[in-house]
Amino acid sequence: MLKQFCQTAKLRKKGSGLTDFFSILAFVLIIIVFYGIFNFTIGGSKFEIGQQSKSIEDSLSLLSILRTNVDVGNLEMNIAELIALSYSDPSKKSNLEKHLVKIMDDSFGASNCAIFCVGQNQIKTTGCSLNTGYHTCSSDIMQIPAYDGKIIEVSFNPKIESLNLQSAP
Amino acid sequence: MKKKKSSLFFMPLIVIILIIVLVNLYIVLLEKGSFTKPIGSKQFDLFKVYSKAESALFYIDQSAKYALQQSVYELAQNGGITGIAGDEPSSEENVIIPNNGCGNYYGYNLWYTENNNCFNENKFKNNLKFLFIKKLNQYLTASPYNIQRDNYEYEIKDGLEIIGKAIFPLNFYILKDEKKPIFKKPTEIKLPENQETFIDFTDTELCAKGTRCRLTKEAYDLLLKSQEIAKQKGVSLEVTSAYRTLVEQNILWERNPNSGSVCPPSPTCPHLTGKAVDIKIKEKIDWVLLHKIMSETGWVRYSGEKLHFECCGTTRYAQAKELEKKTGQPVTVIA
Repeated sequence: MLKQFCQTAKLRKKGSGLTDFFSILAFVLIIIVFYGIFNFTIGGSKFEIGQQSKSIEDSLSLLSILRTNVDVGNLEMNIAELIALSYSDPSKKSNLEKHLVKIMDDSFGASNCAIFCVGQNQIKTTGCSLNTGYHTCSSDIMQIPAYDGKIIEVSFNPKIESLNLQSAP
Repeated sequence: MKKKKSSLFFMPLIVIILIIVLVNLYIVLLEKGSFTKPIGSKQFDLFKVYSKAESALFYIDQSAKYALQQSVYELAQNGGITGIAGDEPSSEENVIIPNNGCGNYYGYNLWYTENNNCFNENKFKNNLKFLFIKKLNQYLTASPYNIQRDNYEYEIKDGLEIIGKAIFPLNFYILKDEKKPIFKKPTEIKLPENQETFIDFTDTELCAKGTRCRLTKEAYDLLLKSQEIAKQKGVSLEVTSAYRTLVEQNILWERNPNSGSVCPPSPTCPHLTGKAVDIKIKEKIDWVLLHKIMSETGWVRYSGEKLHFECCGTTRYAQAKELEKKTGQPVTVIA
């Protein structure tokens, strides 16, 4: 092919244009062929940096919320303690919800829909009431101790996309 | 004309070079094997571990807070007196309720009597420390993180401030391969305070969660034999305490002095030799079976504790062997 390629070039004398054309064509074809070979044999892997960094940011936000001090009946305690308290005394649940909604509204904006999950219990910001869709807890769970030594699982989903809100399972 | 001829070969040459480079690259990458982790994932793993460590520290902080609150409450209910247990949390059966010297009145412990003044602030502080450690250990054992128990040196500062300084740091595996087994392999180590070769079997199947497990090679080999026998009997063994440093023994002694169940800190203490273990059966509480398994491989039990076994030339072990020679009968328990 190369010989023919050169002969053609000699015949035309000013045949460098044709050579360039074939070469570029061969170049592109080689790239495509090798792309296919690399993909099939060595393979690629998907890595969503956005998803990864969101997961880390969410867990740090969750930790910040748990460390936030609040006043509960003239007693200062952090949210983690209030969660533990409401776990052993359900009458404190309303207090916990009130404080959590306020913290989330202040931090992420009242129009935004964020969910804080304590076990199966979901605590939503006021922004979530605008959408009646399906809200999920984050899969990044953190464990905190309860007073009786049991483990309470908490998670935090700070930004629920409007698309998710519309799609119920 | 010459220039034009050479320019004819320029582009084909580029194509040929490209083919050579790509073929070479393909061969090199094929030798390396396929990518198991994407580029950048290790950096994210590092961030994740940082986040996990922060969560673990937060768990410890919260546990310490609750443990202190509960200890103060419990201690106040008993007038500053507490049941002093043996040196291990699992030896609950050995709890001794001490008499503070003044007795009690209708269930309330007395601080003063006509002839006695039993109010001792230092004793109360020790009792508080003891209760706090006991409760904190319970929280840490239940934790989802691998947090070591008995890993803090405590100091009570004015009022009720307890400052705990970790003896050993928390360990997190940054680039842990998920395919590898959870248990670590035992490793041979040298301790600066002891000439013998030690085996560190922390985080192995034989070591209880949150415990630092080290024994002399001889004792460890014997323990492996015991584990084999245990497995044949359908159970498995778990060490709750092995080698201790003088500092660690001091901490235990301070919180429970002169109780008879903790050895006064000295290099001859059984746990300080690396030839003594506190051990239990993982699946159930069966002291008879435990004793049978351990004695089959030559361990000698201390009569004061059902979970404490010694081997390989400790003072008690030597006494047992001497007694064996005299009586001609196997001695598996010694005082």
